[in-house]
Amino acid sequence: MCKNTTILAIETSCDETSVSVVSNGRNILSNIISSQIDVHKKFGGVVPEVASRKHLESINQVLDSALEEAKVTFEDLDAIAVTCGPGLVGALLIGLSTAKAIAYSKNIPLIGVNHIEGHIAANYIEHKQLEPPFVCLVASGGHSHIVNVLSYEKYEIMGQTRDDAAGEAFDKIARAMGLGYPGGPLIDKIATDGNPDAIDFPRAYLEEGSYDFSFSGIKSSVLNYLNSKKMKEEEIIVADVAASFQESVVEVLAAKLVKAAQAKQSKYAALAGGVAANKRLRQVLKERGEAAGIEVLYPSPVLCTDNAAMIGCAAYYKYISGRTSDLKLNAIPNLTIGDVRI
Amino acid sequence: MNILAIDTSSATATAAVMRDGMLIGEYILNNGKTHSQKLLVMIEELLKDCGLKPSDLDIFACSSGPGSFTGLRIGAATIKGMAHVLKKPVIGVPTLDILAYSLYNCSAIICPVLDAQRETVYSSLYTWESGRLTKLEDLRVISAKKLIEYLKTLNQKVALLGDGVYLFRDIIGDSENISIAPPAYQLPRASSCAALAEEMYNIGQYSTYDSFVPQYIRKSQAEVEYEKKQKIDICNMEHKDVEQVFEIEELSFKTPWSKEAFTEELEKNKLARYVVARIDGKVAAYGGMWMVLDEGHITNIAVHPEYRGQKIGEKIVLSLIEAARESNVNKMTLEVRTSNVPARNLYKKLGFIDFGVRKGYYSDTGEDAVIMWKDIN
Repeated sequence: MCKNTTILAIETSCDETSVSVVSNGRNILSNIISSQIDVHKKFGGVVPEVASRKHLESINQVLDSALEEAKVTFEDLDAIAVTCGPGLVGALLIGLSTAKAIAYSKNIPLIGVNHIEGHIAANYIEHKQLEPPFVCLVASGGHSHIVNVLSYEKYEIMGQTRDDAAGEAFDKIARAMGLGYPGGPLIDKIATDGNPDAIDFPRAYLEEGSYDFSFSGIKSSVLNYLNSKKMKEEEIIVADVAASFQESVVEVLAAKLVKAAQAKQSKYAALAGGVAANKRLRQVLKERGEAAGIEVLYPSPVLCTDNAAMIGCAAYYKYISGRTSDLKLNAIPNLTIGDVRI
Repeated sequence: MNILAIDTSSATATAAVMRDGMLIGEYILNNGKTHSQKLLVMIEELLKDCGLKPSDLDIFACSSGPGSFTGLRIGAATIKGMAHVLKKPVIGVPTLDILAYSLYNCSAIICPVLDAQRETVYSSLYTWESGRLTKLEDLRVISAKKLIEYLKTLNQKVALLGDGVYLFRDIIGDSENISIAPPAYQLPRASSCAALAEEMYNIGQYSTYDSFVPQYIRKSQAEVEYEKKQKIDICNMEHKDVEQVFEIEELSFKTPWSKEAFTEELEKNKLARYVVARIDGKVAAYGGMWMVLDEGHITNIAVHPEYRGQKIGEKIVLSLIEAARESNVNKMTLEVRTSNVPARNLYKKLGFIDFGVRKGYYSDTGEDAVIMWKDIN
């Protein structure tokens, strides 16, 4: 019988310090996520310097918790995986320096992982039978991509945002309405009490056949709506604004993903990233996917947010094909999908 | 005992291995590459050349700050990561101590200057006293111009070193007393870090992989802006404050009071009154006094390094004066180190007058205390 492959993965690209132990790529032994959200709330968003300091303060404890919960020690590890981009450079460097120190001290391979590819890999953990190729929408606070996943290592970007990321638009609108931070979950929640057809915000489908996104138009349109209401001293029904805004974003995301899956004759349309946790997006996609004969997949909410298990999963497929990194590995804040720099 | 020491507080990366007081190897690179790319490769090469494996190391040391925030963190995360795997102690050595240590037994006053951007430097003053490096003054963040002006008033020979020296080349002027150390001494040396780490280890001053954090001195800009908008609350010290008060005490004094001392003051000393300044729920400063009949004797005042320069100390003293007044105290008094010019200026500003000197009052350095008095009713 083959020995199990145990990978310890570290993720510190933004404001979650996460360490996970993953066995054979898809079996999570532990996935500890220490969120800094409460620290950043008062600033209305993630402060990079504060995030970096917090990562350094908590990473070793999170690491111990991950080993303990997985009931393994450093001796049992076959490789160390770490997110090396995209993300906040100062934050990435904490995970990276820690991972390199461990890999070197234990003399085991280091595997640099692309954060966005990690988000896609979250689907492998959730859906044990899923294999490439398939089409995936990665949408979060920092990314909005439609990706044709050709294999475990080859990706084709079909479309991406030309301005704001989808999650960023949620954050900005939430802030404009005084809902707080982070905006995604707050809008998702309050929108359930609102009427999605109350206000007709624009949908940016862009030119025919494009899989790109643009969220700045809808963002301005919501801000203008809020301003004009305030000037006229009319009541703003926050739940309706939230629901209508969300609807226009969700419809475009869903329509483009289904179209992309059809274009590639993909059996599956997968969702990944923080925005994949949006309940309305999941619902609309289910409906549209069924109508088009495409199976819609998404990870459970904990695997949609930033977490190290997804990094461990992506690293496993690099490990078995011998694609490891050396100790010179650096943080690459602007890393893109399929980037050859790692 | 093998010590691995590194310093990444500035653009220079340096690593050294020391065994029982003997330097086995030291690498230093100031080639403009990021620490992330060069540090671990440097450690790997160094250990290989020294014939050592990571598991042969007993102590892990790095600079604890101040310095480049990112540089400090790369060093700390690396050292903590190695110490974590190998279950060995971590020692954080103050960056300015590391720099000053390079000028062994130098008769001039040693003034390390670390670039803190915007024409400012992190700095302190050191001297060698019977073979021991002694810190004379903690200047923290100071503009290059102000520092030069101050150094000129000392009328003593001063040696500048550290990556901030470039700020001084043109402003030293014709001062014969102030000089810049030669290139080899301007950079931090991991060997100095290792030697200091060994001294610290021998007196039990070490941390663990999960407790060590760098001392950044400066907060992030976002926090500074945020705190400017926050109210400062002065209130009576409570038990829950003791932990944070002790942290400030340790960061401020050479011979700090113990936690128990504070607890005892709160519980048992009926004459004592202690106040704290809270910002956003965190203790930023504290102060206390004993009220004996009609005299209020200030026992201690300290402001957390991160909150200095915001007039919080002044607020603490004013609140103590107010409390004393309410208790029908007529006079207030305190002792202050002769060298503690900022504190003496503050007390003067608040109406305290020099009233004499207690010779050798401070047992740690033998320094004199200035006695100050103020009539309050």
